[in-house]
Amino acid sequence: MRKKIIEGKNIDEIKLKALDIFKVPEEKLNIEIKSEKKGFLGIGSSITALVSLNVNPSEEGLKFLKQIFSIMDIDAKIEMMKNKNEVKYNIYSDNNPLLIGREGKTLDAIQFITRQVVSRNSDERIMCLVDIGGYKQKRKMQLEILATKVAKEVANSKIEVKLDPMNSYERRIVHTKLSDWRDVYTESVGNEPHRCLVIRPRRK
Amino acid sequence: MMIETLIKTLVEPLVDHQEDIFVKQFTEDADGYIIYEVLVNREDIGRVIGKHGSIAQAIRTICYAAAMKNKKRIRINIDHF
Repeated sequence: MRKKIIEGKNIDEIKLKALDIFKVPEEKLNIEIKSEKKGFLGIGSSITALVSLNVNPSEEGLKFLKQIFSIMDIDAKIEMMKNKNEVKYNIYSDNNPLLIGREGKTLDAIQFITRQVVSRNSDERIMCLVDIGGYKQKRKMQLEILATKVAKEVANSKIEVKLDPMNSYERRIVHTKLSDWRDVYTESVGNEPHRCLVIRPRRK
Repeated sequence: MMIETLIKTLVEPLVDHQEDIFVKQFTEDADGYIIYEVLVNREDIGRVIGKHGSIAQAIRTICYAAAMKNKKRIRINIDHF
C-alpha cells in the first residue's frame, strides 16, 4: 500500500494535499492522525497524518491486465484466484500464442509487470502468478518428463548432463522433481540469463 | 496510436508522477523500426527501468508482442526530463 506522511493546518488541508498527491477518489484515502500540535489561539497549530491508499492490490492487478488486453485488442477472459498471500490470474484469450511469446518470454514479462503493480499497492509480499491458457501447467509436465528421462540416463551412464538454459521457475521444477532421487543430484551453474541446470551422478 | 496508449498504461501504475508521462512516436527510421520515446519524471526513472533494466525489458517485450500483431517493428527509448 502506498503511504505518505502529510502535514497541514487542519484535516481539510491534509485531505486536499493527499488528493493532489495520490490522484484517487476521496473514499479510497485512509487518513490516520499521528500527532497534533496545539497552537496559540489557533495560530501555528498543525497536524501530522499518515495517509494511505485503501485499495485492493489484487483488484488493481486484475484491472491492469484487463486494460492491457483491451488496448491490444485481444479478447481475454481473466480468472482470479486468491489465497492469503497469493494471487493467481488465469488468462484465456483468442490469441494465446501472441501473449505467451517465444519460450514464454512475453508471459514472463506480463507476470513481472503485474507483480510490480500488485506489490506497489501492498505492504506485504504477495506472490503473483500469471498463466495463459494453461501454458505453465503444460510446461511443468513436459519438464518433469524430461527431468525423469535424463536422470535415468545419468544414473545408468554416470555421465553428467547439462540442460538448456532455463529461468528460475523452470529450474525449480526440475530441482524439486529430482530432489528425492538417490542416484543423481542437481545443481545450477552459470549466470542469468544463461544459467542452466546440471544433473550429476552421485558417487557411491 | 495503440502502442502509445499501451506504453502509457504500462508505465502509469509504476510511477508517482502520472502527469509527467510523455510518449512520442517518431516516423520509421532507415531500418524500418518505429521509435517511441518515453519520458518520465526524474524521480520515477528508477521505477520504470528497474534493477538491471528488468522492468524496461518487460515493457519492451510486451510492446514487441503488441507490435507484432500489427506486423510492425518498434524500438522503445526510456529517458527522464
